[in-house]
Amino acid sequence: MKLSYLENGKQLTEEVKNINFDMECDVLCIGMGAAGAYAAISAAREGASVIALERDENIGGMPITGMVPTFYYGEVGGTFEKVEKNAIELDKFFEGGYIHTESRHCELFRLISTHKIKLLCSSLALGVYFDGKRAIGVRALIRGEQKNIASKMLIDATSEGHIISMCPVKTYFGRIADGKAAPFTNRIDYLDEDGFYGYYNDDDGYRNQYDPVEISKSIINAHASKLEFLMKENKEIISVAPNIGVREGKRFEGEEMLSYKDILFMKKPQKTLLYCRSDLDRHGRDLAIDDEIYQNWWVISNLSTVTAKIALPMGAVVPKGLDGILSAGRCISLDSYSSSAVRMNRDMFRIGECVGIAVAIAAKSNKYNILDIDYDEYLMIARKYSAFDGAMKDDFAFDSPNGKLYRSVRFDLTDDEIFKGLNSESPGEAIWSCYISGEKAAEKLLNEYDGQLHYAIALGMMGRKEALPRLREEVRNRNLDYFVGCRRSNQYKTAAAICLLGRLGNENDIELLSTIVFDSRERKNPMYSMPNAPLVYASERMAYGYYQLFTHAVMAIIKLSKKLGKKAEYLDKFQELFTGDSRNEIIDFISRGTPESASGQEISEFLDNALKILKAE
Amino acid sequence: MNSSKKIILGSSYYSVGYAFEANNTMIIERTQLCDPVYYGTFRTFKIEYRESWLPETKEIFSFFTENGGIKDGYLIPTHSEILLADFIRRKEIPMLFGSDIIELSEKTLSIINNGGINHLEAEKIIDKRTKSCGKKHINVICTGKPSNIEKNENFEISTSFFPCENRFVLTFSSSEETETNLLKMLITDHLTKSFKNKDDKILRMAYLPYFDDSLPCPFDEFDKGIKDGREAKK
Repeated sequence: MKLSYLENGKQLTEEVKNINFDMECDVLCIGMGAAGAYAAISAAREGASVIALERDENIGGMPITGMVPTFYYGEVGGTFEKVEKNAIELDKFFEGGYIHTESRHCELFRLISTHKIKLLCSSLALGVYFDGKRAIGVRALIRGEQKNIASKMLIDATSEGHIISMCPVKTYFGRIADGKAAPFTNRIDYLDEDGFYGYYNDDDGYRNQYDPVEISKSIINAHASKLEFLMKENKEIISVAPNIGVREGKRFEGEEMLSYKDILFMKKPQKTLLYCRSDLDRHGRDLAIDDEIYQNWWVISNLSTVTAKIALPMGAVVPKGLDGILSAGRCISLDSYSSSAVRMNRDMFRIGECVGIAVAIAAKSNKYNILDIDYDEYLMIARKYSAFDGAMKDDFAFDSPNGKLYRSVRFDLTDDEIFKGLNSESPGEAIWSCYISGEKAAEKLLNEYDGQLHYAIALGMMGRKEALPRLREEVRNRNLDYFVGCRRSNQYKTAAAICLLGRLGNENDIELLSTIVFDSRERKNPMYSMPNAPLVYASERMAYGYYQLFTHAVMAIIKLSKKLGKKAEYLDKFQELFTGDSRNEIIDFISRGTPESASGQEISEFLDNALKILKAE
Repeated sequence: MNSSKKIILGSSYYSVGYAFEANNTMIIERTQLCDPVYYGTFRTFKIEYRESWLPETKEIFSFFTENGGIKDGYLIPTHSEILLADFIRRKEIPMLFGSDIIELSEKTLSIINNGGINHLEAEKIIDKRTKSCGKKHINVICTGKPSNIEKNENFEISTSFFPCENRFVLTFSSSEETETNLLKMLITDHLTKSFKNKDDKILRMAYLPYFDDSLPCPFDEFDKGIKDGREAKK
C-alpha cells in the first residue's frame, strides 16, 4: 500500500504498512461546497454509504461561505432547484428581501440531514492511500485528530484539486502562455439607506492560490480594500465573505479533456457526464496574450458573451490512469479557457449531483471507475433528477445571465446572412461563420470585397493577405470604434486589425505598430483619455483603449519580429522600454487612479510576460 | 515561509500586536479572517479607553473610532475585519491563512494548506487558538426590537445589545457536540416561527460559533501583545 500526499508543493508517495482504517464507506466526499454537497446527497440517495469531510465549519462553499447569492449562467435543473425554491421561501424572514446565502445554507443542510451522510466538518484529508493504481481511502485530520478512512470511491470536491494534487497525476494551472489564472474576488454585503440588501465585489487581483503566502497577502488586500467602500455614506456593511471567490484553480490530466475548442467547434464526447452552460467568462483583460483561436472568438469576432451548451465528457472528471478517485467541481480535466466556462455555481451543483449518481452506481456494481459503469443506467437516473440535460435550446445563444434576452446564435449562415452581418455593426456571427467555413467562404468574400473593414477582418482571420491594405489603413487611422452586439466587453476594431497584422504582416508593419508602442507621444492622443462605455472592464478607471491597442501591438511586434528574424533587435528595444522611467510611465498612464491589485499589477505583469514570450523559442 | 523566528497560532488582536512589535513573527490562522474572534462570531465588546495603553494601542483605537469601527463605545464586529486587515496590510504583518495544524511541539509544527503539508521550525511558538470546550454559542444579528422569542428544547436563547439602531443580538447556546450546521438550521427554523413583529428579521448569522471563554477587550489584548512582543525582542 502507498500513501500519496503533497508536501511543500511537491507530490510524494511512500510505502506504508499495517494501516488500520477507523471508518469505511462506499463514497468518501472531500469538500462539501457547491459540487461536493450535491455529490454526497445524490450518492446517498442512490443507496451508497457516504462520509463527507469539509474543512470549513460550514458546508456550502461559494454559494454560502463565499456569499455568492445569485447565479451567473450555469444550467437550470437538478436537485438544487428545490433547495433554492425553499430558500427563497425562507428569505422573507431575512432582512433585505433578497436571496440570502444563509437561507440557502439552512435548506441545503436540511436536505443533507434527510440522507444518511456522515458529515465531519473542520476536517480534511492529509494523503490518499493507494493499492496499485486504485485509491482506497485517505489519511484524514478529523477535528485535529488523525484517522484513516477507507472508501470504494473517493471524490475530490475541494474545488482546488487538493486531493487530486496529492495523487500521481499531472496537474496544470493557469494559461499556457504565462501561467496566469483568472482573478479572484471577495464580496461584501450591505444594506443601503432604504434598507435594501446589496452586495459588492470586484476583481481583487491575480494570485496563485497554491502559494499560501501570496494568497494570504491577497486576502488581506482584498479585505482592506473594502475600507473605501466602508466609508461611503448611507451603506451599512453587514458582512465580508469569510472565504474568497476563486474563479480558476488547478486542472489535471484526465481520461478525457474538455478543450475550449471542443466547445467552440461543438465536439461531442462519447459519454457525456452532463450539459453545462456559460460564456467563456475569463475575466482577463490581457487578451493580447491569449491563444489565437480564443482571440478569433473574443477579439476579432466579438463573441465573448455568446453562451454555449457544453457537453462535459465523463472522462474529464477521472484522473488519467487512476481508479477509485474522481473529481466533482471546478478542478477537472480541461484547459484554462474552458475552465472559464465550466465553473458556474449551477453547473457545479449539477456536476456534483451527476458524479454522485455515477459513483453510487459504481460502488453498487463493484466498479472502481465511472467509465466502466452502465451508461444507460446512469443517464436514466441523471435525467430523472433533471441533472443531465440543460434547458438551453440551441448550441449557442446571446442572452443575459437570467435568460431574459435569449437569442439563438448560428454559425451556419447563408451567404445572404453573412453579407448582411458583415455590413452591420454586429458582424461577429458572420465573421465566425466565414472562419469555420474556410476557403469556400474566403473566395465568396473576395468576390464582394471592396475594402470594407469588416470584410477585411473576416478575410484576415482566414489568413488572406488581400486584407492587409485595409487592416493597415485601420491601424494608421486608429480609433476606438468598437463592434457592438456583445452584452459587454465589445472589442475595438483597431485591436482586431492590429492582432491580424501580427499574423499576416511584414517588416513595414512592425514599423507601423511601433508607432503605438515605442513613441511616447502616442499616449497624448486625446482619444485615450475619454471614457469608453459600454466597455465594462473598468473603462472609467483605466486608459482601457490604450491598454488594448498597446498590448495587442506589443504582441503583434513580438510575433513579427520572431517570424522575420528580428528577435534580438526587438528584445533590446522592449527591454529598454519596459524598464525604468518608461516602464513606470506606461504603468502610471494605464492604471491612473486604480487600486494596485487591479490594473497596475496587470499591466506590470503583461510587460514582464511579453518579454518572456519574446525570449522564448 | 520557514524563516520566521516566532510563530503565533490563531489570529487575534493579541497576535497582531505581538507580531507588529516583535518582528520576524508570522501569524498562522485556520480561517481566512483577520478577526475570527469578534467578526467571525459577531461578538461586540464595550471598550473602556485606558490612558495606560501604549501609544501604538491608542493609535489603532483612534483609527477604529475614526472609521466607524467603534460606536457608542462598542466594537462593531462587522467593521473590525476590514479595519484590522487594513492595519495588518499597512504594517506588513506576515499572515498565513487557511492553514490547519497537523502536529505541534515546542519549537516545531506541521501544517497543511493550499500548498500541501509544510514542516516549520521556530524559536518560539505561541498558541492563541480558541479552545473548543464548554457550551457552543452562535450569535444572530436581528433587526427590530427584541421580542419574546419562544423557548426551544435544542438551545438556550439570550438577547444582548448590538450597537446599531434597530438591531439586537440573539445568542443560541447548545452543547459543545452539537453540529454547527445543524444548529444553524434549527436556529433559522425556530426564528421563522418565533418572530412576531413584521420588522423582526434575521440580518446575519455569525460565521463561526464560539465556546465558553472570557472575551477580553480587543485593545487590551493588542496592548498586551505589543508588550510581550517588545519583551520578546530583548
